[in-house]
Amino acid sequence: MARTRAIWTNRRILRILIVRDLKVRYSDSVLGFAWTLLDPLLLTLVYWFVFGVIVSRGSATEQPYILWLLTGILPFQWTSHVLGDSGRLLGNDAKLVTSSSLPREIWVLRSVSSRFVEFLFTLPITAVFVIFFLVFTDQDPARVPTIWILILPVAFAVQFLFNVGLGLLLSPLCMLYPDVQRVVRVFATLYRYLSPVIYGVATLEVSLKAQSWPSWMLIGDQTWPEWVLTIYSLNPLTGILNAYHAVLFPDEAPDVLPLLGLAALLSAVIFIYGWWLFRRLESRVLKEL
Amino acid sequence: MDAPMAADTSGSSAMPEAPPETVDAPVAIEAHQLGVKFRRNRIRHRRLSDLIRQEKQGRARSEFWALRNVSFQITQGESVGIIGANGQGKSTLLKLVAGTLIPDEGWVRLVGGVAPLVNISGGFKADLTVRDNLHIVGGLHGMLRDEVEERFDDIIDFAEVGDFVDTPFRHLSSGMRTRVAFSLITSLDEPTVIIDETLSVGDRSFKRKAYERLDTMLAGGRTVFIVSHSERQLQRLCTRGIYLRRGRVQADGDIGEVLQQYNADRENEGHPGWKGERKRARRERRQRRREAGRLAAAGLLPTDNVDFDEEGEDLPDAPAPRQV
Repeated sequence: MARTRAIWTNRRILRILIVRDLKVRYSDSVLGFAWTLLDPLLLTLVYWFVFGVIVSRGSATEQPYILWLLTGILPFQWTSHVLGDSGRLLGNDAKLVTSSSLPREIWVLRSVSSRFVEFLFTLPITAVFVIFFLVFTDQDPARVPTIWILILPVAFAVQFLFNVGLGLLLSPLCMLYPDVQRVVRVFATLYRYLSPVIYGVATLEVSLKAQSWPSWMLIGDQTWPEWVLTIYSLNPLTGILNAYHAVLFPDEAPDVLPLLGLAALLSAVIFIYGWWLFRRLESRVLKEL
Repeated sequence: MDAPMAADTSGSSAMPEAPPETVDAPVAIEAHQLGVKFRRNRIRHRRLSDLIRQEKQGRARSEFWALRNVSFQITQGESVGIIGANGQGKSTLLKLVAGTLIPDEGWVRLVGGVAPLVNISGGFKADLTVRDNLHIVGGLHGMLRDEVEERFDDIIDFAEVGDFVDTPFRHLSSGMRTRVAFSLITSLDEPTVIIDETLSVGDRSFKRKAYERLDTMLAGGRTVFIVSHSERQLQRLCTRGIYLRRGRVQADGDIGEVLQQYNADRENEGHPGWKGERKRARRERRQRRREAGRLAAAGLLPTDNVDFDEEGEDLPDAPAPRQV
């Protein structure tokens, strides 16, 4: 496809844009780069305080809870930032977009990629905590990376695809219909709780089983609403975050491969639909800029 | 960037009906049956309900063609001025040629890249230093790192910002910013230059320099595509004019003749035309100068800040006509 080739020939420019983004983000604050680490760290501490200390989340298997949170929040922030960017990707940077005839998909790729680089920069936080718990506590079982660490590149790739799909889908819609932007903002908050960030897929299953359910919520002779779990796994982030969790918590992350495979499939569908819509709306977006 | 920017790829197989005038000279810009439509009601944003509701109804009356059936061919080294009153599709055409707008009909093809002197400071980021900005924006326009490095001193010298290389862009005065941007874009090696009329490049002395630079670029055999309201500027820079009226090509030919036709049309329509406008502008300038003189006499305004040169009367003499 000619379009793909045009994007590929401009990959050098994409790299320049990513470097620009990173430079801009840290050029005007005293702490600069430290914010990349502080941001998710502070967020994690807040979640840990609320859900780990005050609510004291039951599941003893997700311990140490702060590590559980980190393996979920850090990758979730990547998608969350892309959702936030998609609202202003074409609108706020209109001057930049209209100053060149680059394939417009570049602006989406730029956001997803620079947020990915940021995400990679935050990974050492997890490493530091893993070492901390290993050295200073006698946690049992010890939380060390399992063989599932090999799945990380695949998880990165699937999440990248998913994020690009979201960006392509939402950025023109947000530009043309400001209402969508508001919906996205609310949804991004909701999304954090609808994805396995503060709890795991295994915990969800346990919680569902532990409740008693009215019969109308059950299909056939099931004792718990399995369909809730099915719908839950139709969220691509379920499979993706589940894979991240599996690295340190293999017992709390069931069906890593099937769920990730499903996520990949759904991400591909979103990506293809997103790109199609993007191409269709591109001309109208440019007229509005 | 050199891929044809065709919205309607099915149309690209059809060749223009009119045979190219100059078969031997290579084509730089080619437009074929270009058309763009806009919505008449200038409501920028639509509501969510529009997204859900079918938009088919009422489409015909709420849309109009800003440009339609625009075809032309520009050979390499030609300098073409786009003429027309406000709202006749000049800027739209410029955007189509620059590739920042996608046509609804037809296609436009560019051979080689473009140095767009349109929205020149668009890629610059206020938080970054001049040095970083030059590397990044240069890169955005296709310059390699070494090329920016190589031309860096020239760009800075020309923009007269030698002392501000490592200053954040936002600390520069607006004049300095435009100078840096102009200096960078005119350093691009692209074979085609697109110039927008709104290009204002700072004070009188820099304006002179800027025009000298454009002259050098033109002398180097670049293709120039310029949108302007200034008759003087057009006659200085262009050999050919394309006159747009209500989104269509009204005339295409020698710049002098096309300007004449445009002025005749304007007068027929009851507009004073350029001659009248210039007379009025001169009168207003005289009046303002008198007023400013009074203010200066009262010690309210430093006289050396008063610059009434709006029509570019201080431009260097036009270079000898080029052989195209």
